[in-house]
Amino acid sequence: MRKTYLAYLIVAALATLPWVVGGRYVFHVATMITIMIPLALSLNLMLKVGQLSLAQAAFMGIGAYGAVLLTMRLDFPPMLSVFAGGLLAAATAAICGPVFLRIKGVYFALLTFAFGQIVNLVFQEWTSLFGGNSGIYGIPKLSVFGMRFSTTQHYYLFGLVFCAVCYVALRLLERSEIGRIFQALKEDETLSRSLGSNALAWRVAAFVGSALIAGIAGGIYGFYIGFLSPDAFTFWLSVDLIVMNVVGGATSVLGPVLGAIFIVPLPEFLREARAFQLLIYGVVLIIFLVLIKDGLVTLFERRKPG
Amino acid sequence: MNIRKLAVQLLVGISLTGLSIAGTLAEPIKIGVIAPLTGAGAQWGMAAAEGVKILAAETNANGGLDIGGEKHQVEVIAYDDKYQAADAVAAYNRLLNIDGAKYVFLVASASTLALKQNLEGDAVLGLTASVTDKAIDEGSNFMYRMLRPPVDYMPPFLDWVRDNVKERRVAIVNPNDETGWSQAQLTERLYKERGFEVLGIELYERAQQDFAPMVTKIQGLNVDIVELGSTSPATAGLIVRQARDLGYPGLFIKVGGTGAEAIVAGAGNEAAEGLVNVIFADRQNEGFRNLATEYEKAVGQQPNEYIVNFYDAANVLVQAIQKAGDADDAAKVAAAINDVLPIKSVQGGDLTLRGAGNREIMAPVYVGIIKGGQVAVVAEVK
Repeated sequence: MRKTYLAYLIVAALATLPWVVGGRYVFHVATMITIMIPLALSLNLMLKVGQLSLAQAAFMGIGAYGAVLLTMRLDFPPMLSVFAGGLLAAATAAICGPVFLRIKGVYFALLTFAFGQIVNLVFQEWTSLFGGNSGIYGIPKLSVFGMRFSTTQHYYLFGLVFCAVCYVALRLLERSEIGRIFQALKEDETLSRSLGSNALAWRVAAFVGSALIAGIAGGIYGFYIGFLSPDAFTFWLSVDLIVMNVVGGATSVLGPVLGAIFIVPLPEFLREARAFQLLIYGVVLIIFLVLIKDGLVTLFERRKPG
Repeated sequence: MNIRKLAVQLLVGISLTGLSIAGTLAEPIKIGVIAPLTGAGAQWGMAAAEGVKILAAETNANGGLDIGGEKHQVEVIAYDDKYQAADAVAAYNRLLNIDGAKYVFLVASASTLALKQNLEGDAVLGLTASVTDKAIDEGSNFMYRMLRPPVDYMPPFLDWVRDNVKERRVAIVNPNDETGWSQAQLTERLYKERGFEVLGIELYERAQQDFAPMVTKIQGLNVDIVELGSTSPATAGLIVRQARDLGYPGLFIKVGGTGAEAIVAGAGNEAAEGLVNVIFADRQNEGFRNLATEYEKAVGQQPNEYIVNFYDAANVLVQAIQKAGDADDAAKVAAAINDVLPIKSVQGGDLTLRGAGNREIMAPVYVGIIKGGQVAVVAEVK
């Protein structure tokens, strides 16, 4: 238990680091971490019900495009659009979920992969709405109650708050009755169903929740970067989220947080290496996976079965 | 005593020399390059980075940039954006915040559009190779384009085709996406305006590799020109090879984008013979050959044609900085670009300023024809 608090202490110290070091570049890297943490958590939620979803990048894209278009085309207040974008992603998951989640295992992964490809193709081909491969640019800055997010620090603060909300919500979920139902579904679905739990409904709920988180993160991304194109929401983003869960440890909610904190800035640390950046990135990942097989979280929490 | 005096004199001498060196060697001028240095676009990105680096090395070898009597070395810092907007923003923030660069070269459209607002807000001068018309608009004060966009070079290129090619029946082939659609629309209009008969427009998916059905349909149209539009060079090579295999005897033209070497590599010398392609660099030109030699020393390969455009644009920038007399004020440097042009391209010919908001540096463009597996320059596109 003490070790978990140590992890919280380290994460809190790291969260204040941008103010200590200072500079827009550091705040940018930190902001990207706060965008990726909720995304990694959204995948973790699906892993909790035993399903590997490759649709998280698509949900992020739906949230991002949805939020940005609501503001740019329909004059929605940007902050409202961010959450509306999340709801749009959640609604998409609610429609697709009952069909997708009848399938399990590798077939579900393939189905969500196909879904992600279709969504990306729609972003590419429906140019009048999504701007095609040229994307959408000139996206206004976020604002709330008349206060404009004019600096990277504003986005970082907002991202931190959103991360904290997601983490606390998923931590409470993990420790609640629902968390135990999820665990039972993952470990022995037949037994769980024989005890009366509606496996499909719970899985759909997890899918919708994960899409909501990914969609909101997408909205923040869209307003922060100021440019959207389908390239940002490909299958490879979903792969990055898997890496964050594996490196951090997928058995606990803390795992993807640690994974994102480690993985997102890694290419930036290696920028100086230039030609060898990708090679070193790969070697570092292999070393971590070999030495800390169950993820960074095992350094701070007792290992859980599975 | 004498030794002591000598030691004191030496120390004073060394100190004065040090002070003198410190006085004349001022802060280096830092130029950033944000480009895809890995992945599918690496050939373009590497050519971009090395083009700017070669120009900087030449400037430094000549003693550096003289600004108000102070000699400044030129330092080039290239970062990989992996063709991703978020990576470009990270690289930009690092260039601005950590490295202290005030000038940025950009390759990808995604990076250009993502950084457009930042450049204006931070008063950082950007030079982009992106041909999207969205890169430069009325609010752009700090963005310049370094390539002639298709809308500028395509009409005179097709004038040359009209005057030098006897075939007149055209099928236009393009990828089925926004780039392909707009390219198809533009080329159809331009071909028709020049008296060509456009008999069909075929669109294919970017990932497609089997073009036999499409080629069969085109053959049924009885065309004698296949216009490959904005098809990537590797895919163009595939189409050419498969069309020749199916017995298409006519002419291939590719007006949208360069890459004749890659087309030959994909199609083979025989199949690609006679293909007419727009090219940005004359590989037989002495200026290009010198750049290619330097590139080969650094990278170990032949460069993409882009190297010429980035070298030329870096030359324009460096001369503008010198003309402005203030390396820290990008607004003054932007204004000075107008004053330093026209200047000579490394390939000969003039670099001029015109186009959108007078912010496009127009470089020479050529008509190339593949002969015996090599690209021969037959005309300059005026």
